[in-house]
Amino acid sequence: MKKNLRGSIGMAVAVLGLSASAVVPALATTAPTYTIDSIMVNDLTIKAANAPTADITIGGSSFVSNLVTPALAHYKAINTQKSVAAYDGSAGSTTGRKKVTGNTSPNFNIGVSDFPLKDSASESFTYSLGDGLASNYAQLPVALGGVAITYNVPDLNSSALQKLLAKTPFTLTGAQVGKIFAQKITKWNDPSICATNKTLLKTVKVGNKTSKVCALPNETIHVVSRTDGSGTTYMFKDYLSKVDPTNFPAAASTVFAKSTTTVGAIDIPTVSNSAAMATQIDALDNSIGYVEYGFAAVTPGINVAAIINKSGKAVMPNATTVAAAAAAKTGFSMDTLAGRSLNNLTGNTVYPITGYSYAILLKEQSNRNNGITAVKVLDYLTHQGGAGTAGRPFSRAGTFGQDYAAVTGYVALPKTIQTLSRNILLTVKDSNGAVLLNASN
Amino acid sequence: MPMDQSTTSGNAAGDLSNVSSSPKFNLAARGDGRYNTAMRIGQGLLAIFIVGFFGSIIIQSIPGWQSAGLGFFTSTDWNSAGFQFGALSLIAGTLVTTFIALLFAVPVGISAALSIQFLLHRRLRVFFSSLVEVLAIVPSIVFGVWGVAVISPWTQHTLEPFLRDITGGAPPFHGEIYGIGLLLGGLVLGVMILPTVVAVSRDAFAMVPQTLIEGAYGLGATRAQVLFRVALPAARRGVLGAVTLGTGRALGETVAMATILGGVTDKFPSSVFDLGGTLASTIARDFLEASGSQVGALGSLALILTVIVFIVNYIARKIITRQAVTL
Repeated sequence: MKKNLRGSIGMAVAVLGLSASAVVPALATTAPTYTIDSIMVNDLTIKAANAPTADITIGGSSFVSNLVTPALAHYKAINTQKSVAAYDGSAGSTTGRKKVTGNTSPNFNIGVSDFPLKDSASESFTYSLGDGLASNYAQLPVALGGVAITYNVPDLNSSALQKLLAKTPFTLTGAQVGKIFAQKITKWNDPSICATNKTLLKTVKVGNKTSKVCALPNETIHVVSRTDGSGTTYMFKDYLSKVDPTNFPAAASTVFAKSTTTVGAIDIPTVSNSAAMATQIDALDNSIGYVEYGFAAVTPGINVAAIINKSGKAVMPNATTVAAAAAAKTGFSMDTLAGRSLNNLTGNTVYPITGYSYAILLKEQSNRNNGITAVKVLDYLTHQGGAGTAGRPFSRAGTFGQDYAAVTGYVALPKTIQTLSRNILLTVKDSNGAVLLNASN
Repeated sequence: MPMDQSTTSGNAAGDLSNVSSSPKFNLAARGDGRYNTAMRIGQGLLAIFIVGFFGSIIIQSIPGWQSAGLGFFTSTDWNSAGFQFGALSLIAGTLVTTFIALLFAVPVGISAALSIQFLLHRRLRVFFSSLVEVLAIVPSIVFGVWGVAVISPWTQHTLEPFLRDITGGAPPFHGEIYGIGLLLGGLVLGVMILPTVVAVSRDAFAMVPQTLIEGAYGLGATRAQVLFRVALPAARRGVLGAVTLGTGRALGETVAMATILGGVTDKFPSSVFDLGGTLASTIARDFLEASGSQVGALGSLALILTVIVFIVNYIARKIITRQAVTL
């Protein structure tokens, strides 16, 4: 009972801390300097008659929630006339798609998902409510992040080994990651993992002789997975289908199943969102999982593995390497999975498991005022301050949604993608066919 | 407690109906007539709601029965994404976690109720009983996260290896240790039903006639004898009702179990260390992804769960009302 009370107090503190983390960025940026463009002028001095009063709700993917939550809080602080609900990232991408397509109530005005609605018959895995559905929706990239491979091996926590790991991080090849998640590799000291981590050695004494051996323990690897419908899993499995097509044929489902053919394969626990993944990896010894790297960075008990990319270099997920992946992408197109995927690209500094999350909203907004708020929220979220964006005469200073990327474990959308998002937002109209994102409303 | 409210409101309704049936004053009778009409309409709506609720669950579940047939009760492989609907492992998961919860909550809860009622000073009594009742208002998800983040390292490093070692790895204490799983689920569930067990059985102990207690002391019984041979047998129906109510809550617990059990639903549990799933937790986890016959299958799970919980609550109500009559 005493323990439990302590647990309850701990949770209360955690909840307070979470709310504070949403409030503090809003407070910290109360007096930014703005060069106010025509749309922003209107945001700040909106006419009372035209003021959208209804709530705009936005939610879905937990992959993006560390970025969108503080950014939205800031938006609400500088646009007090609008009523925009806090980001709801509790259930994941599929909830984002379902709630914006009206399959569940209450609905979202804007759904966020790590994979868009069905838009091409050639994609075998999509969320389908019926063909042609996607043509009713505007879908645009809203966040860029990397999937970190996180692990918790207590045997590596000795100070000597931590010194070695600080120099050369624990490293896995794409093929090894595939085999681990297919449970074809079931022990941490598997010869191939030891071969990849040649410098990770511990000293053992046999009789009088001391020798250096692989420091990884002879322990079973506990694979942890997300529940069905996770966009992070979708992104990760798209990567695995490129580096280990034998075990992972092109994105077939968003679950990992226990191997039925491997001796020593054990059950795979599943967790419901990114934060729960970080908590579970922290709690379970000798476990391995995958989570947006911002989550890994803020959970102290878990470690991130470097991944050997297509160019043969070991790369950690961080702002530089994820940005390099986005820059290495040529011919980005929303239309197909191949056109969208940033996974396994060539380049020395490219982190290989990277992807965009997408915002989804109806192209025809029957409630004009809600629609205006929705496109302005997304225009704010998909841009950053500083130099103007090609395509529109915007001279931006001050803080915009993508400015939060660097401090929350994400990467700002490349300028070309910001322009693309703007152009897609310009296709959102009211029931009379009038474009909602413009300078006069 | 919700239990207290339902019994007191039941009594109140009974008193009022007695009053309304005595035709002493016309004015009162007219008011009572309106009151009666209002009550009848309310009762009718309630009946329609209940029939509609069960009817919709049954209709929802029909596609599930059609697609899985008898395999629903004979197959242990539940895999919503793969359209495998065998509920046996889920029923087992539900019963195992509930059983472990009772193993924990019954002795702890009854001892707590006995000591709060008979051993503590009056002021401490209020303090401790409210302390236990605080557990009832902690949200389910908090128990889930607490279980994974705080307790699962302990079960992983201490409790489960200990159980495996002293039993020599005999079933059901064998297999891979994850920390989370059926054992942790049962223990957390036990903490969650503790307030129900303590509050209801404490009420039962409070109803033990003081003359019995004093008589036993007068005959030279020790305090332990008074508690376990006089108070406990005298209140046994109330205590049984408390346990049954706790069981009902444990069977239906959703979010905490979805967080702690690991969601492995495609095999029959052979060890208490195994990962698993319960009927309620599986509905919660799979529903967001479900479409077509998957919804029907989840409807069937809901029906099974509803029937089990209904039976348990019915038994609890029987036990409690019988006690109220005899004392």
